[in-house]
Amino acid sequence: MGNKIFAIYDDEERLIRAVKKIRKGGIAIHEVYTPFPVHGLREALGLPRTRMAIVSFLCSSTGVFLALWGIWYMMIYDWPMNIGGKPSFSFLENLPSFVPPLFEAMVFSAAHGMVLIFLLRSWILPGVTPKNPDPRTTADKFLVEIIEDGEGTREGIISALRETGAEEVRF
Amino acid sequence: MNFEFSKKLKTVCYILIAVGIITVIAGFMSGETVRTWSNLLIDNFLFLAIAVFGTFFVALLYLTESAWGVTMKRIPEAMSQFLWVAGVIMLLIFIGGHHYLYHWTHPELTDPASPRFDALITEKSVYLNTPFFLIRMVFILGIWIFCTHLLRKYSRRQDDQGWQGYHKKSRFTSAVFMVFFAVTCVVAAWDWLMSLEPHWYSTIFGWYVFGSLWVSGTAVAILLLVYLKRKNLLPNVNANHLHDMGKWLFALSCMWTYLWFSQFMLIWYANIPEEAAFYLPRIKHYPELFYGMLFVNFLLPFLVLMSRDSKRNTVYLVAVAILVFIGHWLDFYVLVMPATVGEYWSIGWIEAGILLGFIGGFLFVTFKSLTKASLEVKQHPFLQECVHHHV
Repeated sequence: MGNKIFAIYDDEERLIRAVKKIRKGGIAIHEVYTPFPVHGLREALGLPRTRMAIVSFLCSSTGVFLALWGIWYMMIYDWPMNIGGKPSFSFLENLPSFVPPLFEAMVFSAAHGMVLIFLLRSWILPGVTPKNPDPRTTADKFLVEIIEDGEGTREGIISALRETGAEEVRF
Repeated sequence: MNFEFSKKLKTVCYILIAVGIITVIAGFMSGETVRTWSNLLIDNFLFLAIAVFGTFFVALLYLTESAWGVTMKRIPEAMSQFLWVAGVIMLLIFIGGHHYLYHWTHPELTDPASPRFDALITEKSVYLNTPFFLIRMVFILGIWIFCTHLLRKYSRRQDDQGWQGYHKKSRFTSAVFMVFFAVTCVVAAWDWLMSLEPHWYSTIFGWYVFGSLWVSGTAVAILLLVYLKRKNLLPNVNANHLHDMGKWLFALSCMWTYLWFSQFMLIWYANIPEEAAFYLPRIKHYPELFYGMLFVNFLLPFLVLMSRDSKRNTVYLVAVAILVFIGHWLDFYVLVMPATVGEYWSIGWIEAGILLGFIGGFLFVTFKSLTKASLEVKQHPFLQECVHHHV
């Protein structure tokens, strides 16, 4: 792996323009660190759409089915309950009273599952050395990270980055 | 770019209106009096709701300073122009059909000497009496129509004169309308629908009807939007704007279900006879519609519109919008019919004919007002933001 070159920007509009320009110039961007989600950055970087929605769907489905099974086992099968003065002991006939907990289980599983899978996927876990090269990107700066492939290109990359309005270029 | 109301389309509208009028006359002649009045109430309330949705939606865009809806603003505006027609028909329905529809209007119910004396309705007669009911109806409809008229007038003048002060005036009118609408749409739901069953009441009923109003209006707005888009009349409306309307349809289907379920579950769980009296005939005599409605109004929109791609695809959007429109017609059908015709219901030529008549009338008024102003909004402070809207 080659050396890393960092370019720091102070504005998200400038960052997006710079990202487009850098990619046009044939330089591959390894990573961009921003303090908040920047609208339009994904398209500028040419990244595929996030699969978080699929994760959310799978997690919430899991939650609903686990809750369905749990409620059925606890309230109907193992110890049949008289719900709302209607001793039908049938899952379907008691369904209205199970809808709120099913909904809660769905939201709970979706929320926790999404957070956990996001943390795992981006490998942000306790004890892991942070990949973020500059803590200022958690406050008000935007950082573009480029990995240098060959020797002679460094000067070219740096001058290209300076041209895009980078406030600071480090390596 | 102006919408051109073609001869062919006009003829279709006239035919639909004629079908509706003939069905009403034939319905009364064939002796199905209560059924015909009930159908008039269902369809008129549905289209009144869709029309007042137009005003509500425009006011909402102004008050939230939303930019995304600016280029499609003419559509809810045109929809709201049907309001005065539906309002007049609503008055006529009450004047002509109150004895057939509204049980509490029978004078002998509040007469202690009568064998049909009803203590509960007598107690409620302070509120539920014909003069006060009519005053409320005229007052509510008057305010709605007045605000609709003002919003439309300001919007057109802003385009013609280019004076942005009309934006501020619209915002003020929207704020006034919204405050009145918050109260009056609930009162309207009590009066025109909940009083069909005067012994029963539910505090969430007004919001539940408001949920129906919002989602059915959104469905119709999507249908008109896609129709005009297909005719290439809305160059500044793209997949991003459609996506936002799809989000509304998805979210509002969930909101309607939430309100429906909140009302149903509490009454189901508590099982108090005076409250359960509302659901008993509906579950007993209308089970297919009562439960089927949940599939059409909740499950299908929820599953189909969940993904981003289907919200941006006009085919899916139109399919779901049509389903939701039918679903909310069914919703009002199940609200009205058990109270008027009871268990003797069927969906036949009267239902179809009157619904077609109202569709024709609504489309005629809406298309007519679409021709009157340019479909593209030319003067609006958020116009450029809307053109570049991106989700």
